[in-house]
Amino acid sequence: MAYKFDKVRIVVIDDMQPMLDLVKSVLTIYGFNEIYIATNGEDGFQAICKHDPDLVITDWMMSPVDGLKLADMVRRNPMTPNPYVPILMMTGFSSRLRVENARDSGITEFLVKPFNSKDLYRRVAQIIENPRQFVDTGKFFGPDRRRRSDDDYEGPRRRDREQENKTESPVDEEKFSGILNKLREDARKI
Amino acid sequence: MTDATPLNPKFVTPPNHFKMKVGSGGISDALLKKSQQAIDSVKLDFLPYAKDFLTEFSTHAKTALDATKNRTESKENIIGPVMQIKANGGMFHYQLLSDVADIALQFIEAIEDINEDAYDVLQAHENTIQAIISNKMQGDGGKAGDALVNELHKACTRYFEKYKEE
Repeated sequence: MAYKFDKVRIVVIDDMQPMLDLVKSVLTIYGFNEIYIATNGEDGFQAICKHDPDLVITDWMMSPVDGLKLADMVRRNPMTPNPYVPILMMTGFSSRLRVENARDSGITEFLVKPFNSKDLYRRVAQIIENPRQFVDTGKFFGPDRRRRSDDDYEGPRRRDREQENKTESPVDEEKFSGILNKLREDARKI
Repeated sequence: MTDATPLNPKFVTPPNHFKMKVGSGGISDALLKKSQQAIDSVKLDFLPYAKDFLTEFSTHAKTALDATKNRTESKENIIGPVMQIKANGGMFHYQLLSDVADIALQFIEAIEDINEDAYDVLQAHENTIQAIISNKMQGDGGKAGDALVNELHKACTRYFEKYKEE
């Protein structure tokens, strides 16, 4: 038995087209075939209203409507077909404050860029297997934020922690040495 | 979904339509491997994007240094392009760009505003990113990359040591 993603509708939103293409290609390999894309939150919201997706994957920093505002619209706008739809936010931000900020806007899960395929799959599987209950406090409506967030927090020391992702790219020692020397020179005055 | 604050929060467990559609079992290691290969082999020259983001970063950093008001807004303007380099570099073969931009991002998020010393730290990051771009250095740079990253960490640490009383 394996997941059957062919009937799942998904909307992916990112203002960088190559990133959209890349995520779409990875999701297609997973087996998704109803993938709708948009390049900003405003168009993304239209796509969500039109396609009533089972999952939304969105970037954070976009204009004119960013990922946080989009999440708020999905959760609160009467036009939205499903205010409970899971929203996976993919972003370069990784600080705890930013993660909490995203949670406060109704984001379901958080994925730090750059990510590998396993990272993306883990988040999707988390959404499928461990859905959050929703809470309405009047001021906040969205996934219950009380679940421990440690599992989701990538932290700022990705380089040190993710040795498994390290590449064995050839290194030009001479070039690096030049850059390092210049950097040390720059840094001396700090 | 009302604006009025209720006496007690209401909890709802919505039906898991996603799970109902996909069933159980996950996806195979073969598919994960194939999808990772798709990421690893993506054909995009990220350097033109990186150059544009770096130019934007440089301009906003200078503006933030000169700003006498709206300093928070100025700081947010610097964060945008740095975050783009951090987020996308590693997705498109330039992990070291991501690693350097990550330190810059942490630094900018941690400081109050851009003073002369903070600007020097940012310029050290900018010069390093510029050098990686100019030399088209793909990958994470291995131990040499670690040395660069550590040097930038040290510069940030020195800044925070100097301003820890404030």
